[in-house]
Amino acid sequence: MTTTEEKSVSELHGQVAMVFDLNKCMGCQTCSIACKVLWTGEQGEEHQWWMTTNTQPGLGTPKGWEDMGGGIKNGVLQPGHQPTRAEFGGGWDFNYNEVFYGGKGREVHLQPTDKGDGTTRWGMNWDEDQGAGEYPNSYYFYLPRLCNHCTNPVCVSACPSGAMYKRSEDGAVLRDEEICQGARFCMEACPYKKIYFNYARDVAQHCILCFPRLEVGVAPACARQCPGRLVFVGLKDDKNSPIYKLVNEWKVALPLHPEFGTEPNIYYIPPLSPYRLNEDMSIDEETPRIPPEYLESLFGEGVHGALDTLKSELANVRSGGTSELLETLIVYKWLDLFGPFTTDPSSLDRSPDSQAVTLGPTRR
Amino acid sequence: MDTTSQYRKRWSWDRVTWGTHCLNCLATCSYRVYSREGKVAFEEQGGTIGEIESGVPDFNPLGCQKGSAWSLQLDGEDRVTKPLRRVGERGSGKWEEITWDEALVEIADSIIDAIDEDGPESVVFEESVEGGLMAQSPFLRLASLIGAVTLDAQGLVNDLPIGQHITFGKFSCASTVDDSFHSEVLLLWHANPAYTSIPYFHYISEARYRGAKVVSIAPDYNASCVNADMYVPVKPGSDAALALSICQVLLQEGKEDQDFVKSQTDLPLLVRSDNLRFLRERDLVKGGSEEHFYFWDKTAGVIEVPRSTLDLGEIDPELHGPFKVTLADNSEIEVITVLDLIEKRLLDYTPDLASAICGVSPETIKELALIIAGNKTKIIEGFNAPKYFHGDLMERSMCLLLALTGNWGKPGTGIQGLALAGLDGYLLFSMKTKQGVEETARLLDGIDASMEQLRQRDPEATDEMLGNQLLTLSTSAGTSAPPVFFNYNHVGYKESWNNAAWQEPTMTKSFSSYMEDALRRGWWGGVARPSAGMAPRVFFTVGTNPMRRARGGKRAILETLWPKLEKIVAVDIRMSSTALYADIVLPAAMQYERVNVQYPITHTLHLAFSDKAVEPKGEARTEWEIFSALANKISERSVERDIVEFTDGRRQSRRLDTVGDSYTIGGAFPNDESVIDEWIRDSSDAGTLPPGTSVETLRSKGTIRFTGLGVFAPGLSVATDVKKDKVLTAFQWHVDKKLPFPTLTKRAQFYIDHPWFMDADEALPRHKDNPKMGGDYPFVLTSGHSRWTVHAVSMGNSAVLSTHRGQPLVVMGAKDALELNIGEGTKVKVFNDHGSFVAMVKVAPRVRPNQLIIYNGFEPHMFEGWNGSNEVEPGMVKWLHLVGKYGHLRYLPFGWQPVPSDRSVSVGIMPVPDSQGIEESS
Amino acid sequence: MFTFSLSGLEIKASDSGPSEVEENETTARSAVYMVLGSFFAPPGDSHFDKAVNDHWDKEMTEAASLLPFEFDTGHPTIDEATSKEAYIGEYDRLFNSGERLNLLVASQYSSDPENLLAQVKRDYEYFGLGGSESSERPIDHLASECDFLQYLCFKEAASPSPRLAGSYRRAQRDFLERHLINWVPDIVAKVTPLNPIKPYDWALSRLDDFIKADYAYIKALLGG
Repeated sequence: MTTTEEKSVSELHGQVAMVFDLNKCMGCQTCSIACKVLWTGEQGEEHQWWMTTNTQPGLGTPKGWEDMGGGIKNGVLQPGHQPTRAEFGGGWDFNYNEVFYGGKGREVHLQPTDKGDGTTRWGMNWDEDQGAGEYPNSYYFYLPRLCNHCTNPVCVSACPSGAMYKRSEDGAVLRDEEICQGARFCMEACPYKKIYFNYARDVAQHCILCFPRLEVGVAPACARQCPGRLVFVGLKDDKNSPIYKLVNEWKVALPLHPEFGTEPNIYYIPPLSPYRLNEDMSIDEETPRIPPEYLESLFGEGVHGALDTLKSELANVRSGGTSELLETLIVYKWLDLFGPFTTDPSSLDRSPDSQAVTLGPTRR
Repeated sequence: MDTTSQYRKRWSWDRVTWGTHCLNCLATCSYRVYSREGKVAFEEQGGTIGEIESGVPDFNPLGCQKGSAWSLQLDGEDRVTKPLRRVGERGSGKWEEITWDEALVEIADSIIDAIDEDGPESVVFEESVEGGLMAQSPFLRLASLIGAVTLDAQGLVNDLPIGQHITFGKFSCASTVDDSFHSEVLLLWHANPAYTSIPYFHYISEARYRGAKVVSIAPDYNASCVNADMYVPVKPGSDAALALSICQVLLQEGKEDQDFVKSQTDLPLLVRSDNLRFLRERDLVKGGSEEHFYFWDKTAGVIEVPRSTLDLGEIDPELHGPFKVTLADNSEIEVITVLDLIEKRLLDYTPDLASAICGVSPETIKELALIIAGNKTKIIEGFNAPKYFHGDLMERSMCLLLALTGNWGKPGTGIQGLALAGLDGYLLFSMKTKQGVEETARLLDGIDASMEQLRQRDPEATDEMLGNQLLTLSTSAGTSAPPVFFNYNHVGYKESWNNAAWQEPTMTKSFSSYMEDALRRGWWGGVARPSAGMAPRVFFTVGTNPMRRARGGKRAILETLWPKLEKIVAVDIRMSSTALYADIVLPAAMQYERVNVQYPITHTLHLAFSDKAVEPKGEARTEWEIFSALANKISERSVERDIVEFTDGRRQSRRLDTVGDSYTIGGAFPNDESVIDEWIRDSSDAGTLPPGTSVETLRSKGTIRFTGLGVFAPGLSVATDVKKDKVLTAFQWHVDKKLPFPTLTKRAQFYIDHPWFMDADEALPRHKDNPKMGGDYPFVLTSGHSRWTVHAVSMGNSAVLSTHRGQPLVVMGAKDALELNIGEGTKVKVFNDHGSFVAMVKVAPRVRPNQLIIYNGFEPHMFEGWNGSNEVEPGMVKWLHLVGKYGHLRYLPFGWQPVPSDRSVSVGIMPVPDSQGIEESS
Repeated sequence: MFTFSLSGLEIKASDSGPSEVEENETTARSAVYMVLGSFFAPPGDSHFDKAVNDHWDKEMTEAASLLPFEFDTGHPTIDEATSKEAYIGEYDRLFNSGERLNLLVASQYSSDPENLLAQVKRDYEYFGLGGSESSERPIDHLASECDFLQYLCFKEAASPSPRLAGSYRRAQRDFLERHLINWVPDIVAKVTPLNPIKPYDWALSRLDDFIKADYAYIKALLGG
């Protein structure tokens, strides 16, 4: 019997992919927090959120990222904007000491400290639950985003120092921080703007696909901690995995902004929405609440077929039929979400000087 | 070290323990806590709960972002880690650090002074809903040893589904959340589960994929609407009209479940046409009972309603009258049924008429009736309705909808209530005079004997009803008191409640008149404590935060109550707004630094354990340690000061020198662990936890499913059996075993023929407009809990604060903002005749016109001038909830009592220039 | 409901127990545990005398007479050649010498001895067997654990309250399951290859058989 470690290296060769079912996402930010607590708590990482969940339509984080360029078209790297510290916002300090112990009573109150750098005017979720439209037909939904660990990672192409690489075990796009010179071309190149800069250490940082966990058969923290049970993890090319079926057979799982050209490996099942209401408040079952063109602008033209499939499957079960697709999306057993990554982390020996921690999984 | 090794190292640990956060979120999420070199590094849900019912998704992983960031809060900047004493004015932020001994001596002395001079009822504790059982109970133990008053938590926070109580005599229709997977229609009503039910939300989306229709009914297009099938926009406070209209359609189309209605409800009961009171035995027979009621049987005519069962046997009650009966004095009168009255009432709630009230289109109302009829329907309700002034009418109407469609007591049905049941050992503990199993058996045998005695006196009573009676007996010697009286007499709410401009316009006399009437009639005998003449002197808040929570804000708490208090003690993990204004702040240990269990809630039916992963920070201690030490100090000082004997508020003699010893039962319970172990073993012995369970079992498994709901009232009121391989479905005993409800009529009761209810035209549910609480202003301020925090607990967590704007927010609609020239992200002032506050505005098209939203949880000290959102909430109380001794309308701990409302307070809003400090802008 | 206290409820004292406990299958089980407990306590002169005078045989037979299940009490003998010193020394030879120290102490067999001790202590306290700290041997000594079973069975037989009797009965099953059943086979496995002299061989095999039979009995009685 091979250990999980060996299995993860030798048997796992393949691109790890994830599917987020946006019909289950409630915007709770547990995925964002799971990542934050685990990976971005050290110096220079305070404002970094490798995993974020934003309200769409919205400016998201960094503010207005969808229009910041980058990506690749016809084999040519597209120019992109390097998001500023203020455009990410966040990383706030609060004046607890002053309020509690400063002896000033009610003259001061607790608030984010304005350092004059614009970071108190935006944050990782500033426009939460604003959305678009007009009451009562306003619309919004939640979009969890992380590094897509693209098949065509433009960040790697753009990196001048060779610090960035994509590894074959699991397809994670990683950065050797010892080589990174802080040039930040990756930040310009990435069209999803999921790369942060560590101003204390002068290196860029981004989602590492929880590779220390993948290596030992544990699902990424964002997926495993999601209380909505909406994140599927698996190998993209495993024909038996729900991921494969959702992407290739049922075609309900779509990439975000495919036109960016980077071939992302994170997919989304697009959101349905409640009926619109007419002027007299009666139900309009015909017009979708979320404009289809908006969803198309996010997920490409495949979104229409995906939504139609979801609707017809729902109609099917509502009239007493069965649906293999919906049975899959229900996820009766939580562990079924995670493909081969079902190891319980608490069963592992991860003491700081253990082999697993110091050397990583055994390599052939 | 190379980069990959660096990251691997971050994900390392040398110790794993179980943890749960014990917050008042109704969740029991079991996390593994990973520590490294004596510090907690991170946490992650355990995900170890096995499948309960085949074909129903499992509970895993539970959890939410707040729990997943708890480790960051151990070093949060708002933590209190040393005992503090103020050296300036209250709230000045000037403190000195003192030793535990100094603090305890000072507090003990103030308690002794208060007891000696005025009696122990001048020592008042707020009951708590936060922090787990080892935070919530130690101070109760001290309070009962000295005869102090503990203010009923329900009357403080108001999570009382009061309309459910009026209908069912309880609000414990509390199935496990996976029961929702069986629903065919889920009505998210007065709830926002996407915000407040994060660990359980997936059952809603899963039910939807299984074919259920998810309907979100709310004023604004809230986060729970996003993944719903239908959004039903309802005018704030008009839900009764909506619910009643759906009822009207159902009845008109003959879609009601007649059998269900006949056996479960009071709808077939006969009502006298002349005085509109129930036909009672005393009407028909001289000297007859006030509590026997009648049907009209198709063959036998007027026949008494069975009182010990809902099984009608051969009886087939008519649902419609009129009929004629002969009274005891031989006169003949006409009688009709409750359903006759309901149908008459519902004439005011046809879809067209109701639409004018609630804003929902008539087509939608009919569509809803169509969707619900014949389908397993569950109302997922939160605690929003009770916080409306007329929330009781809304809930009663919602219950009527369920009654007409046969929707409780079956999987996938009901209305989400609240029940804390199963940890019988916890309830036994306060009665124990010795540790160990013999004492447990003595008490359980004693309870059996007491129940048997009560049963002799009332042979028709179910175990649930007897359990309630036992509970009532315990209140006569216990510490719990509904805070409405304290608030009225000592916190100055009298003025607000008598303000006719803010009150319900159809009241026929002043609030004070009703209050005095209720007290004179003895409806609150024994629990209206402390009396009007007993000013409070020593005040404890242990994990509670009245400065933030109390509707009425500073006017009530700070300006009226605070000056009366000689000693204000706050015990907390963090510097809350209340702690800021306290005299002494004592640091409490946080979850992960102590052992604890979450309260036993039937939402999951699991007992979640939290272990001690690391030492408490600084000098923080657990509440058991604090209060046992205080108990000892009181004993010590009482001897030193020779103030040993005293008489309590019930004229019983007591001693102070034995308090310390009694607290730990002669040292048998020296610490938290021994207490929890006793609770668990006793529960296991009582059959509510698996055989052989001890704290060690919980230490290794983290969470364990209850095997029974217990012998006490809360468990019995869920009225169902625990089955190993099934979800828990509440109210099955009523539907399957035909056990009666604990109400006056022994049925789900929609007609309340109490004179006050009748005068108010609320004998039956109806719609009533929100009173203009706070004055006549164009906006209504609604609220709710956010996804960002449970009460104010996460306000010191920098990571969680970063997931929103880290500061108080008022959310308003786009059109309104445009009209009032209010820009997104600017400062606004929200005001009414009661008070005002300033905050940042968030403009969102999802908000209804004339609605403003402020989410609960922001501390007043996060607002300018420390004027929190509770400044605009007068905290009005509905006079009808003062009714007592009418069947099921009587006080039970954490149950029926007047509660403060805050939803749909009347406010105005205006932009303010960017200002610091507390100057008012014009 | 969250936190209300039932401290105001007065529960009347129940009747005191019976003045005499009649002998039955439960007292029989108690008696057998007593014999086993006294055998495995560190031996002195009287221990040897009992072997020589066939008193172990007599005690066990008497104790087992009312047992509700099949149990072969065996026939403990002692070789004539065995001296008192050898007899008493056999105890340490088997259970406490060389590499095999404290074989009669449960925590030796546990990966978390502190935890196990805490559990046992709380079990004793909860079920009313106080003063365990003052005893000369560790609370998780085999003799102590047998004494505990003896106590639990006796308390069951003597309980005035059927509920309390049930509690003691469940405690017997739980304690056997979590403790004795777990570690006694380990003692036997470790000690048998040393060829214990008579009647130590008898005691070990009777111990092993009895707790298995008793556990099966009590489990069946409680419904599995």
